[in-house]
Amino acid sequence: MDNKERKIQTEVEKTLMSLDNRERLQPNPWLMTRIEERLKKESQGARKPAWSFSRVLQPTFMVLLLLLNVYTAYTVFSTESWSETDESNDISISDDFAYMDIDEQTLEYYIPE
Amino acid sequence: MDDNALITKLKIGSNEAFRILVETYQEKVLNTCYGFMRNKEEAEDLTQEVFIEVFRSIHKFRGDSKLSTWIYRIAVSKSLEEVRSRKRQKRAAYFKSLIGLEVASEVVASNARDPHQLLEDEQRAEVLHQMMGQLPESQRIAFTLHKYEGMSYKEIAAVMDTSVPAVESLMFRAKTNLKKKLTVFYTKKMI
Repeated sequence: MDNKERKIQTEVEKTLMSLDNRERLQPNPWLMTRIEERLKKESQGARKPAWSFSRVLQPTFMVLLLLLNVYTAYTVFSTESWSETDESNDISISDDFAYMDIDEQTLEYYIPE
Repeated sequence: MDDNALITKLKIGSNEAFRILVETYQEKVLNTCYGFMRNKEEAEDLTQEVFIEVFRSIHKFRGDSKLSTWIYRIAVSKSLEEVRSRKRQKRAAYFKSLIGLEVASEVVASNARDPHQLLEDEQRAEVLHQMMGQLPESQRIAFTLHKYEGMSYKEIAAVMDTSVPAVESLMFRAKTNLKKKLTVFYTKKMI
């Protein structure tokens, strides 16, 4: 073991023992008073009526939001008419531009004599 | 007043019994919390929370373990909750700093003390505490209770609800891991 390694091991041992001679913390003399204050505040809070605006409003809002989502999904995706309309549009466009005719004719048809 | 009499009075809501309980256990709870938090103010806040929890849930205490063991369990679980919450806050602050919302140093600042201003032992304890924070939770609990509270392996086993050989194993692994981490730390420091 070289000098550097020995030094490192000494540091490690010293650090591991650093808590052994630690002075213990002494509690705050006002601890009991503070606990009593917090308990008093909590018990005052508990005396408030269980019913509160937010308790009713939150679930109501969530239900409304859910219903709105369901309604939106229903109107958007329940669309046989939507896909039908799309299809009929496609057909009318292809008719207008005669794509079908191009497929049906031979190449010679387009070459001028 | 012995534990049984104290518990009986606590269960009927005696303020005097609660005061005796706080006076008896406040130093132990404070030092246990300090072992996890390494910050006096935070340890004091947690100590208050521990006693409030004791007050609230004393009716659930069935006497399966010693009163002190039960209080230590509450202190350890409250401390771990706080440590986890701090870690979550640090992670959130880090991500916020990445997207430019907040500077991460605000949350980290409580631990960022200048080591040159600390005494040598205090500095070493700080380094050790940082390494303890990287240990698996069960090893950390065992090591903290042993080092900060001077608990025997038997007492630690009672708090952790496990066997003495399991605690011995946890302590052995904790020391081995700490040695490895400290060796890496000091090797880097000496380069």
